[in-house]
Amino acid sequence: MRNTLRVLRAERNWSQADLATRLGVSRQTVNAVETGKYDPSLPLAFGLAHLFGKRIEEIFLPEVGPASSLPD
Amino acid sequence: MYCLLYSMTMNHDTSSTFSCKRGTLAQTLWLLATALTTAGGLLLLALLKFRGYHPGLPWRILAVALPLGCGVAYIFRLIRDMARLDELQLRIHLEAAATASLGVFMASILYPIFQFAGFAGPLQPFYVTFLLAGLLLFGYFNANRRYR
Repeated sequence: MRNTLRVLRAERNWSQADLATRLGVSRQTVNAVETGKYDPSLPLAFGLAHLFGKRIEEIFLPEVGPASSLPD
Repeated sequence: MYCLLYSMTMNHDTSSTFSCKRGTLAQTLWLLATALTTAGGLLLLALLKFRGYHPGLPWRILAVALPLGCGVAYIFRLIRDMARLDELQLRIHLEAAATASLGVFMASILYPIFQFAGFAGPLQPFYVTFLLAGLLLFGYFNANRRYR
């Protein structure tokens, strides 16, 4: 899953550690989510959406491929 | 071993460093207490036997109950502190635990074949301990590297 976390974080001039503190998780978790190595749980995704004032689907985008061709 | 892994994980934590350090300290103290009471109990029983005294039932119960109690307290403390880990850290610990337990399970199945083939001698209890510790470390570092 792709995401726009890096851009959103840069817009606010937050470091990964800043975001981690605001979310109550480790910096390693923020980095893993940001680089797409780890897909966050729903509570964490909602936390991110709430923090950036956006909807989850505005932050997380599905990878292009068979998985993205699910029915609406 | 697990205390060491836990402490290393908590170093990454930025949310509640103080409480996590306190948790790690409590774990270390319980682990230390377990080691000290085990050594103390063994020493006491050995000394009594060496001097020709046969340790009575209360002494033997005390020598066993103290390290056992400390060990159980350590496990409970560790489980309680693990609730403070975030979801990725929990996943890393889960992968490490799964690697260790499945590895030991596989080894227990395969060991008789190695024995019959003449590659391994009689199974010693510390083989299992070393294998468990080694696989736990391998699983932890492998998962940690993947999510870095």
